Parts: sequence; C-alpha cells; structure tokens
Amino acid sequence: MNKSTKGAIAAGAAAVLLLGGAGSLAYWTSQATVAGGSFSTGNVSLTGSDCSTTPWAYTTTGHVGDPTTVGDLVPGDTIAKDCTITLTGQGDHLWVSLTAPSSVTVTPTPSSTSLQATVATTYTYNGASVAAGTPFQVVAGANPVTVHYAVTFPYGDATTIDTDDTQSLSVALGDLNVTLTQEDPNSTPAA
Amino acid sequence: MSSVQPRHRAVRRHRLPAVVGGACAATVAVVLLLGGNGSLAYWTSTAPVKSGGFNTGRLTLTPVTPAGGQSGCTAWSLTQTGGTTSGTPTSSAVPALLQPHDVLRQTCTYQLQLTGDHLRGTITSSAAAGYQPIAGVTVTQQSMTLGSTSATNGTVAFPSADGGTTLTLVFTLTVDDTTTSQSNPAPAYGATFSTTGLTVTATQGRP
Repeated sequence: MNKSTKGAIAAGAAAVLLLGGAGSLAYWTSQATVAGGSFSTGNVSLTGSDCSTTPWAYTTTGHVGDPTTVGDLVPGDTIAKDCTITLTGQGDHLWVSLTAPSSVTVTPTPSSTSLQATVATTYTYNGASVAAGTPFQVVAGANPVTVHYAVTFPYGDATTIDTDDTQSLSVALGDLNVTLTQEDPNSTPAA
Repeated sequence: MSSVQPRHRAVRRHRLPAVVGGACAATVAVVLLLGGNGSLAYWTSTAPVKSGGFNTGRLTLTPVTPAGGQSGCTAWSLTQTGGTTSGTPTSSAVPALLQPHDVLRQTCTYQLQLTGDHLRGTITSSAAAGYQPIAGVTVTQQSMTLGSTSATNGTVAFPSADGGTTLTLVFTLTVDDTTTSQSNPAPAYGATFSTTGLTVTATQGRP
C-alpha cells in the first residue's frame, strides 16, 4: 500500500470520528436589504452669443501714426474682440474646459481662394483667466464666460507671397464654435 | 519479471489561442461594465459665437502711360550716340540699329494706391542692381522718387513722408563697347532683345 492510499484512509477515518458524535456541518446565514436611496445628477451647457456688433480692435502694434481703429486689414494683422457666452452648470465636482477651432470659415466678397483666417482664444470665467483646454471648476448657476477672440490674417511666405486675390475683400466670418468638455473629477486639481 | 508498459499520454485538450481568449475576456468586461446600466459618457456642449467680419486693404501700382509710351513708360530716347565717338545725339529718335556706346533713356510713372491701416512696404525695380536683357546691354535705374522722397540704395519706402503717391523712375539703357577687356562686351551684331524683364515691384512689409 503506497503512501497516498494510506493518507486517504486516515483522512476518512478522521471524518468518521468527527461526525461520530452526532455533529453537524451546517452554518448560519442571514440577509438584510440596504435601502440605497437615490441621487441626482448635475448639468452643464454653454449658450452662444452674437457679438457681431462689438467692434474689433487691433492687437497688431503697427507703426507710429497708424490708425488705431480697425478699417482695412493687411496680411499680418491680428484683430480681437471680447464676446460673452453663458455657462450654466450644476455639479459638486463639475470641472470643465473650453476649446475652439484654430481657424474659422471665411466667406469673402468677391471670392478669394487664398484668404485664410486663423483663430486663438482665451477665456475669463469667475474673474480668472483660463487658457484654452485648461480645466476649471464650474460655479453653480448661469454665469458669463468672456471669450477673448483673436483673428489673424496671416502674412504670406515664400510660397504664398503672390496672393493678391486677398485685396479689397469684404469678409464674413463663420460661427466660432466654442466647445465645453467635462473633465474627469478624479483627475482635476483639488478644490 | 515485470513488463514495461507503454505510458499513456493524456489526451491533449484543445485550448483557445491567447488572442481569442483575451478578446473574450475584454468582451465580458465590457458587458459587466454596461450590465448595471452604467455609462461611459462625459458631458460636452458647444455654443456658436458670431463675430461679424472684416475688410481687407489694397496695394496696387497703376501705370500712368504718357502719349506715345506704354505700360507707364515713355518711349526710349537716345541721349548719347555711340560709335567711334561719343557725343550728344542730333536727334532723340532711337536708331533702327543700336551700336556700342549708345545710351537710351526712359521715364516711367505709376500711381501707388494704398488702402490698409497698417500698410507699409518698399518699392524696388529689377534694374536697381542692373538688368541685362541680353549680354552687352544693361538697363540701370537712375532714379526713383515717391512723392518727394528719393530712393535710398535703389529702394523707396511707402507711404512716403509727404503722402505723395506718384512714383517716378528713370532708366537708362547702355550698349557696351567692343573692348575685349570689358567684362560685358557688346552684343553680337544683329542680336535682338526686349526689356520685358524690367519690372517695378511694391512689396508689403509685415505689420
């Protein structure tokens, strides 16, 4: 008889001895229901604005004696204006960031195939400057966001210097779509 | 005497390839995540900003062509008769055939139109450093004036100090002589040329 067989016989004998005294293998269990209650979720949304009538201002320095009010742009000029949109939000850990495209559609009259307009945006919310893409915490309620909206008429380079079809244009800018994105509350800075 | 029995190999089970197994596990994980009506969403919102538009300026050089001229320039006139002796020509008419040491002159006039809040730049001509339509013939920019401002090193800046917008250039055309020691000997007899490469360019500078 090998060792394994002997061991099995010994284990069986031990079990018989243990149960021999009318013992039991049972164990007790009990269940209870926990009433979890409920929770509510927050909300967040942006509302756009029409600031077409807000005048542009130059951020291009220009030269001494140049006009300070925006009339006719030349390649290399940058103009900017502040537009106010509304951020409505509610949420204990509601952090968001704002972004906008780096270009905007242009509709020149007469038509021009060379004209481009690049865009840069920064924001002011709750009294603080906010860079594009930087998370910030939402204050409950509907609050203004100032969009510092800069448009550049790019100066040409060696390959696009002959872009005379950008002269004497009346240019309509398309909507600049500002996008709000909720940030992961577990990865935003501590409040 | 014991006999050696062949050992039976266990029946090999067909196992799923690791990739298939991994895919199944991932699927199960997704099902588990979504099974409790969970959500992987985050919130976004987009709002349009209407900003209006802008106007662009203009930069042009418009030729002011005198009678008998073309493209803003007078006809070439003879200012020095060449040949074996140099001297003042008896007529300003350009001879049918030029000869070494002939010197011709022409004046070109343009109206500069500037529209743009920050529109500045420079005006140059292709003859500022000497333009050669053909070997042995050289066109030289003698002067350039915008308003009352004369060119410096062949270039004039715009807008001019006095606001003048009339651009005037004087060019001379010289036929070199036959001296072999010259780096630019006279053109071969019978050669023909045109001055279509003589250009005036206004270039906008970066504001």
